[in-house]
Amino acid sequence: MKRSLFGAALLLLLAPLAASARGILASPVQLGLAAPPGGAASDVVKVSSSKEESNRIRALLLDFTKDEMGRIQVLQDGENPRSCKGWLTLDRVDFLTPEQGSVEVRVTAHVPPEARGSYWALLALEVLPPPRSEGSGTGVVFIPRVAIPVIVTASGTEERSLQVEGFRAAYNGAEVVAELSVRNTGNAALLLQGAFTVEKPGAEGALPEEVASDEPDPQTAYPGARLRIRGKVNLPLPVPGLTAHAYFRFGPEPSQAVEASSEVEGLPSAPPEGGRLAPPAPAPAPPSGREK
Amino acid sequence: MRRPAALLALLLFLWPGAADARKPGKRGRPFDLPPALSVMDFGRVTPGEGEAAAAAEVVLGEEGPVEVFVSVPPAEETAPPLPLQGALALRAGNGPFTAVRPGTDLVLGRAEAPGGILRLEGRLSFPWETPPGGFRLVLRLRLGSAAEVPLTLRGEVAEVLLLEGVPGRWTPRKDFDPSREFSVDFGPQALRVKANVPWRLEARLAEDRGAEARTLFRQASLVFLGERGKTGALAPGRPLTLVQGGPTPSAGVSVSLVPVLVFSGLPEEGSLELPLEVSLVREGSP
Repeated sequence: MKRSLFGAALLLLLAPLAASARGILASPVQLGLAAPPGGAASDVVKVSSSKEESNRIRALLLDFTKDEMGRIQVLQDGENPRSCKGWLTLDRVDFLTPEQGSVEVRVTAHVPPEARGSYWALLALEVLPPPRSEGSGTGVVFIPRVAIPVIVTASGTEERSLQVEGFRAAYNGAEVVAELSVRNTGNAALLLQGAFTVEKPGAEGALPEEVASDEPDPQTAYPGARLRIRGKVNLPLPVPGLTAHAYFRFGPEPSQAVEASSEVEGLPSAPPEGGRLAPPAPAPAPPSGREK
Repeated sequence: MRRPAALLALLLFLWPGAADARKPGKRGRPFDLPPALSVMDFGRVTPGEGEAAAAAEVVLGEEGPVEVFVSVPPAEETAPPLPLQGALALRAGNGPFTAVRPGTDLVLGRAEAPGGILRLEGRLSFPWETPPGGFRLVLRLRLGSAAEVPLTLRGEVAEVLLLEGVPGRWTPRKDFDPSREFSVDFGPQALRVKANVPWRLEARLAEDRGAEARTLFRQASLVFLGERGKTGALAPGRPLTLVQGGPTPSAGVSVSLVPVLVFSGLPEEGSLELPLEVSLVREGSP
């Protein structure tokens, strides 16, 4: 009996899927707010529909963290020790985007007097699905949304510090894949900008010569978190003895930079003659890194 | 050779002051563009979304009505080569807006009120593909034959993300036997992503959205099929990166998902929902 009821219910659920697509457009897609402890700061996110139609949008604040690869992980309340969710207010949380133009959602951060460094939360803007109706059956409710990280910094209290935890570079037959692992050991979010370079030894007494380089997109390192920055350096002509170098800045001061170097693994043992050599299988090597 | 000369003669006939006016500083009628007013700040401009507006004001000299000229540097002399990747129009006072192109000189109109304030207005828009970042364009402004002064247009092209899909319920399209393990293929679900920054599309089963979701979550999992078979399965508490990419063309890119709901046991009687959040986030910073 149970089986037949369930099956029947599902048969009634054969609703056509081809409803019109709805979209959400948000700009900017990240917010950085700074105010002294006890102060407030705000900014706006413009939200509009992707087509000339009105959409019902819900704005909500969530806790999140990012894993080493930069993927957002939504957390339950209380799981992020540096959450600023409770400090943030939105001037609208359930609204309609007009057929033309946009709606501004103002995000205001009230920084507590005791705050030190950076804190973060996620602003999620989602297109609400139609309300659930009686007998709507078993299935998946699909909720498209745009997620906007909000970082709030108690200005004047930042301690910026970054530590290299590892660096590895390996040749894969076409390019050198470099990966730098760093940990933010300060209390402020750090924007890391820099490059990976591949160098060959210079002539006797001379500095190494850069062969190729890659500049990954800037990355933000959250306080206490580990971050892996990856780059791919195109290397059309591999030769033995190349080294890889990583140099990333997190501030304007000379001391606000980290660097690391490592031999490139997996290079051919002899220079190519008239063609590219197949590389030997890469062998893992212990990373070497140093803080500048 | 004859034609330009004839045109110049015609121009001088119709506009006797043109020859002198084209020699900056010859007569040096003073006017003032105070530093605080000499900037048109467009603020944060969203590409692909209408026009942004800004204004500057000029304190006029004491001489009579004068033409208002603007010289626009060639595109290669702006760094970055903006904002004329988009559309820029200017007007003086209540005159009409005139489209501005790189490497051109324009007459915006006449300043009729000596000693007064001349308001200059700009309208600016950028196509979707414009990369984000600050822009700055320095025009040369001249009133009559007075010396040129710089007029700075500045602002920031904002980062933009767009996600389009069909919000609602994916429901099974055929009957099944709930007494055994089974899977439900919902068929291709099309999404569209537009971005002027690197992006990542993540899926998450929102088990925190209610008791029904938690109930079903224990009995089911969701996998996605790609062209080469299964691309990933959603595990509790962990997001799944569906696809990621760089800045898109203005039409965006299509992403096709084939979600398959796998029940590992007998679902409870009645109707149950499994909320699936598909989030578009900026890849990289922050």
